Amino acid sequence: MDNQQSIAIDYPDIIGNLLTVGIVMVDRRFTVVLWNRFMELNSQIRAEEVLGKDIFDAFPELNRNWLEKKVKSCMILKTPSFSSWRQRPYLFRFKASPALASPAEFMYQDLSIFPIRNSEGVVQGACIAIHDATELAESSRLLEQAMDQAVDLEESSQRDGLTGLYNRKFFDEQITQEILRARRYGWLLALAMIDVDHFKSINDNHGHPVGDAVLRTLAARLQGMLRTSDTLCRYGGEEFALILPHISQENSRFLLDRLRKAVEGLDVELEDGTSVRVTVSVGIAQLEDGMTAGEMVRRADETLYVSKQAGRNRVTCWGD
Amino acid sequence: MSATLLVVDDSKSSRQINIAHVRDLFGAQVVCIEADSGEDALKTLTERKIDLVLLDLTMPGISGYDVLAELRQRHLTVPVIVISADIQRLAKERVAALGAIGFIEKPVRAEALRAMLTTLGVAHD
Amino acid sequence: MTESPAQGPLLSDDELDLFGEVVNIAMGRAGADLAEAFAGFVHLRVPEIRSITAAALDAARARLMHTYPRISVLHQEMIGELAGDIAVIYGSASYAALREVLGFDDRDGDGRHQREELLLELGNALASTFVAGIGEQLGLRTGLRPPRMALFDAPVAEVAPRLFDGSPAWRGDTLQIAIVFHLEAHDVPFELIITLAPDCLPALTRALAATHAHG
Repeated sequence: MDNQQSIAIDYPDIIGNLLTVGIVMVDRRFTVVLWNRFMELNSQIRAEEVLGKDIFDAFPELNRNWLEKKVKSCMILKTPSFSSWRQRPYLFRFKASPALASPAEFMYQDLSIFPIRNSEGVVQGACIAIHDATELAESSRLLEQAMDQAVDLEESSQRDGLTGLYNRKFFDEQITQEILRARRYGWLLALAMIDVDHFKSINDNHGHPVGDAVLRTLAARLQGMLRTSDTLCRYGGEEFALILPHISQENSRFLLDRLRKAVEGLDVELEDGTSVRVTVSVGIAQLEDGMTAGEMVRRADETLYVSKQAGRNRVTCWGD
Repeated sequence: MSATLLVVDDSKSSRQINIAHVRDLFGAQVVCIEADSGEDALKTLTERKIDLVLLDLTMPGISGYDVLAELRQRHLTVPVIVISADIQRLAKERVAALGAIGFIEKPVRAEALRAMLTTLGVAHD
Repeated sequence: MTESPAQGPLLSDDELDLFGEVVNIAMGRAGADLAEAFAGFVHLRVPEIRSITAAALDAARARLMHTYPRISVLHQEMIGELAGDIAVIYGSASYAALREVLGFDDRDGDGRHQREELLLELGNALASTFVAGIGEQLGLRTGLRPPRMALFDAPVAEVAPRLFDGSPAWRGDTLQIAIVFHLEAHDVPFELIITLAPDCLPALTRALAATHAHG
């Protein structure tokens, strides 16, 4: 007896008894030709009950259209196909292990599907390997939850409590980032400084709560009129900064004038039923070569001052 | 009497393989000219008499499909055999519709080229 | 088509030409398999093979930013004697058309996860047939890990700076293969970008020499 030769290994037996991964093999007509231990234990259906049966007859709850297409293209392409619990929680509806401290009701499954060939390389069917991904899915869920909480926390340190807009700290970081990006990719960038006219009088005549209400209402109004790429921040007491990427001088003037008009028409309701009219002055600066964040803010501020001097409730661009 | 063959492919190694196969089959009876682009091929075809073209499909700029269409438009009736890695059924149908007389899949084996040329009765002697 | 990094080209002109043909043939086979599995014509453009340096990655990012307003990216790891990273990039996609092409229905809905599934299915089919073709021709054992959705329908301006970052395959210079597939049944082209792990380049050059020797 030659023990250099390969030992006689019962491969089907090994696959059949595998407990850590489910193996289902079907022939070209989707008849079940192998149903291993993992599948038996999790489905509580014995191999002898399904072998030789059409898999869709044995498991009517399977998404037939999906599985057929997956298996057929795998057999034609002769390459493995996959399915992740992230997109499709499971193929077979098995109860999740109660031992896991997880609220998951059903087992999450990762699948690999690959073609089975005979010795001549002719595709005879397909093998579906099923991995229990429930723990992975649960950890992922917890991680995402923790990350969302972390983001919320970060968000709150970036936000202004009164208006809900981004705060000055965030603005300082963001304007620097935007300038870097604009320079790198050759984009246009504009900065508008917006200041509430006669805000001190509003506070003095009507009280600080009214002043607060004005800022809140204003912020909400402006926010609703912006593009997704625009960033509106509360810069100071009654001053706002608006970062506008991808916009020309003409268009920024046009956009800010629309905002100015919207504010002009805004009546802030007071408790006694009367209302307060509000206007804003705006100064706009465009990003130029070699300009730093500080220079851009200064220029926008100077232009804002021009608007104030010229009578308020207006928009001025640098260079006007 | 010798015949002139134009081999069109943007890959130098590909051109050389095809020329080597042709030389093995026909020796000095065939003069082989190379073109490394669709543009170059069309230029050559308008400048000299070519008896047979071996044409690649996937080339930057003017593709093999474009060359076939252009030849048809200009009523240049030179026989073209497409030699390509683009082996989908529809590709073969489309080049046939555009007037190609044969299709050989890459990588080219000398046998395939010989069989094609024999079938087409393209006798170069 | 190629840029030579400072220390000399990764592949000689001849090797590049040979590899180009290998890639071409693999692409042709992948196209034919896809056309058969999913019915319809697949437009194949000339594959691009380039030496990748950090600067070239910047150029690749910039090109993507100018081409697509929104982007979805699938990542799939290639392991074995030929190893590296595969990115499949989709601009906007017509999910209805994709669903038809792949033959899936929408009984599970048409939400984000169902759409991701379509992109993953097509991306995996593209990548795996293509890689199998290269591996077979070169006699190199290679396989793919399951794909994952790295980005879904994100605005390109936000995400492009992060693309191609952090993969160990990108330290130092290496080769990148870029292919564009265009399914005729679906309006939008897809890009496959394969970045080879630098330490498999010696095996690649050996394999190219071997295929060339056999003619």
